[in-house]
Amino acid sequence: MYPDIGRLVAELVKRKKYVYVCTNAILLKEKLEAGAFTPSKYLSFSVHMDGVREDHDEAVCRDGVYDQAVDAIRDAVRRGFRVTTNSTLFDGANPLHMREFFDAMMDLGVEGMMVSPGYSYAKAPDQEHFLRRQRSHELFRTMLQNAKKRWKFNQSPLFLQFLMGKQEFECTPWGNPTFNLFGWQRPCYLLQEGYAATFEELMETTPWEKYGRASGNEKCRDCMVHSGYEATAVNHTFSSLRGFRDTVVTTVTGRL
Amino acid sequence: MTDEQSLEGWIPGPDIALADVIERAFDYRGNVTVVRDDDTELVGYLFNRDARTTEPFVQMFDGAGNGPITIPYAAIRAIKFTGRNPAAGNSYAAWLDRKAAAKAQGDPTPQR
Repeated sequence: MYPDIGRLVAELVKRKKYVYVCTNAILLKEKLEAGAFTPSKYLSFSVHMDGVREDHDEAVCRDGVYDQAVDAIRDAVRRGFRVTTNSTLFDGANPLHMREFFDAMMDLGVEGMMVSPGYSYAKAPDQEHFLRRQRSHELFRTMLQNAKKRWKFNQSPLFLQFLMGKQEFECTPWGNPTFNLFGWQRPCYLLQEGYAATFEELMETTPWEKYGRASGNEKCRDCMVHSGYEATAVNHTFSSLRGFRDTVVTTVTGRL
Repeated sequence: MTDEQSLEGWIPGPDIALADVIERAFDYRGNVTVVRDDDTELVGYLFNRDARTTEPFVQMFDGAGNGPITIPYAAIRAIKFTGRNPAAGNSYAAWLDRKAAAKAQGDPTPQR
């Protein structure tokens, strides 16, 4: 873990920046007990949870992580922190298990949940576990149909409709740019094809026309991940009357 | 054995094009040793490369974390895959194998 994570977060919060600390929560309880973080409306923990106990432990290849994460979430909520979850779903994910999982997270006091299919890439070695587009639609339709009103998703309802096959979007690879010690990652969070030194260089020298489903790039063919598509969904909400209307209707009625 | 595991300790022969070796080094999760034309060596993590520019280059952080250090392709004689690959053996398939082996021995909870 980054040794100065507490100070980094505190400095960002001091500047009134909204911070989502993404974590598997294995060390979260220990850090909270040590006073590494202070509750703030600007700070949320986004805990990686891929489903119910059995499914999550298998997804992260380690037994006991689900229980550790639940314990940490409970502790964080008790201390007054904002807590959200992020879930990546692969082939074989059980939609009924996921509905149980959504209930469990709401019972814990989680503020909002994010779900996304895992990244699918035609040449990835672990082919059998990636979701193809049609399988993704089936899974998310079964999982999210008659969504309970108590389930709070921390993401665009139009993106969820896209996952269910009810919206057609193209990727916006620069919509959620990744910056780390190496620089600005090209072209997106998932494809690691090098780095640009500045955001301006990223935007001006990346051949964007080679990415996204319409480009024919096989690496992008089955991708439906939120880093590229949620940005499109949000843009659709605020750039078209239809998008705005659909967002209002799903938000007010709770029906996806 | 996966490609990532097999690269650990690899010293590419002269028959492999430098550009191809650089691509493998870019994907490699461990440190590499870059041998420059002047015989000096730099051990570190090769995190970036750009072959599309007029003067293609790689970028590295050295073993002490200093960097980024930029080296033109033209100044590189060889690259050796000298560092341990921390990703080796951490795949989902490897975990399933360990889990099955542990279960066969009566322990259902293998760790990484």
